[in-house]
Amino acid sequence: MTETPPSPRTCPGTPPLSAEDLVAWLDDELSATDARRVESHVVACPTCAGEADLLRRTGDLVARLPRMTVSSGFADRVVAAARTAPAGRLVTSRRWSFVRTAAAAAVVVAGVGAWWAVSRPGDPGQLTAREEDEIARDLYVLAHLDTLQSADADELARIADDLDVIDAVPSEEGNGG
Amino acid sequence: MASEAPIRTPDDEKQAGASDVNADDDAALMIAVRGGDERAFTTLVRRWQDRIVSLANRYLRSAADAEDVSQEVFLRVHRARETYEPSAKFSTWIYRITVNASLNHIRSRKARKAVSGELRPAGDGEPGGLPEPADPNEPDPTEGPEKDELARVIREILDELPERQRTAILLNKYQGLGYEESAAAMELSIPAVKSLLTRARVAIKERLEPYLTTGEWPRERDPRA
Ligand SMILES: [Zn+2]
Repeated sequence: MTETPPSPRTCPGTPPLSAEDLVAWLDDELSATDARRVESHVVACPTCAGEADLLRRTGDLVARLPRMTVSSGFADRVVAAARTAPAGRLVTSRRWSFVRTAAAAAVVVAGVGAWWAVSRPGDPGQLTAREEDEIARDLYVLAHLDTLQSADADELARIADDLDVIDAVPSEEGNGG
Repeated sequence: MASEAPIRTPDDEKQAGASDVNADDDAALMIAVRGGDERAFTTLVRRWQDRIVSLANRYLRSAADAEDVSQEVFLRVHRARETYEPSAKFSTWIYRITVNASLNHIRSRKARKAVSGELRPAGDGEPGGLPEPADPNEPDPTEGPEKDELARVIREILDELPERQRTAILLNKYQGLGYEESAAAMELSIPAVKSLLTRARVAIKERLEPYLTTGEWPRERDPRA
């Protein structure tokens, strides 16, 4: 899916109000000063007033999407399963943690990456999820080489288990139109 | 499996000591879990289970898969108990695990589908076979009959959003996290989340606009019209 431009409506104001400010104002996420600025603009600008109304209702509709409840006995099943599982040194949100590590290393690989992005076929410049994961995993291994080399079998098994979330699986992502 | 039933039972309340438990106590519960308190873990699961399964279901569109992933999320939380740092906000932490686990589940589901499609004839009902991915045309198990077309359309629009836009809008609007908390859960800056949320919101609005302005879908968008 192609990225949507910030706003399809052209605010006639000078300067025009940005969609980001409008949305943040609706979400009550602006400073008092900015909120006053946006509010006085919206009051005077029918285009933005109409846009604000549609965006507000859009947010409300997403907020009111149905919720699920788990089936009965769910918590008991989870607790029973947890009872048999040993504590591990879980690396939570591995993928994002790795991406952060990747950001630090990105300076080093930027040159190579740029070359790679333009030389590989299809969808240049955008990594698929699988490629991201593979790079992230490799960077993780690089960053933890010392630990990995000195780890015993149990430790290695645990790390391997922790890494399973980024096990390379074929992904269709990045191929969408 | 899915219902709109109340989340807590009186037993839950008793077990949780819930009258004095509020959102800020998740960290305290987690510390108790770290100390081996199984009841604290039960309480934590019950407090979070419906929020987690609802979010997972937004990605997976299968109540059974959402529950599997939710179980995985809580087991991860449990496994991580010894390294849990109370400085990390529990909500952003568990939402992050949920999003990761859901996306990962989708990827492996796609991989399994690809593999099984190659190796087996379609419709093979062999026991132990691989679960079918949710059919996008199937009604969402959490959505009532016609309540509706609108929820179905929003679900489709969300599915088509780029992954990070979808996660941002789900955390912010569906789970009610503020910008700062959403940013923490996604490990992004607040401006980055602000930008994702704006794009997501405008994209959804664009698609919903025919409905928002007239209260009806144009004919070509409604297969039953
Ligand atoms: Zn304007």
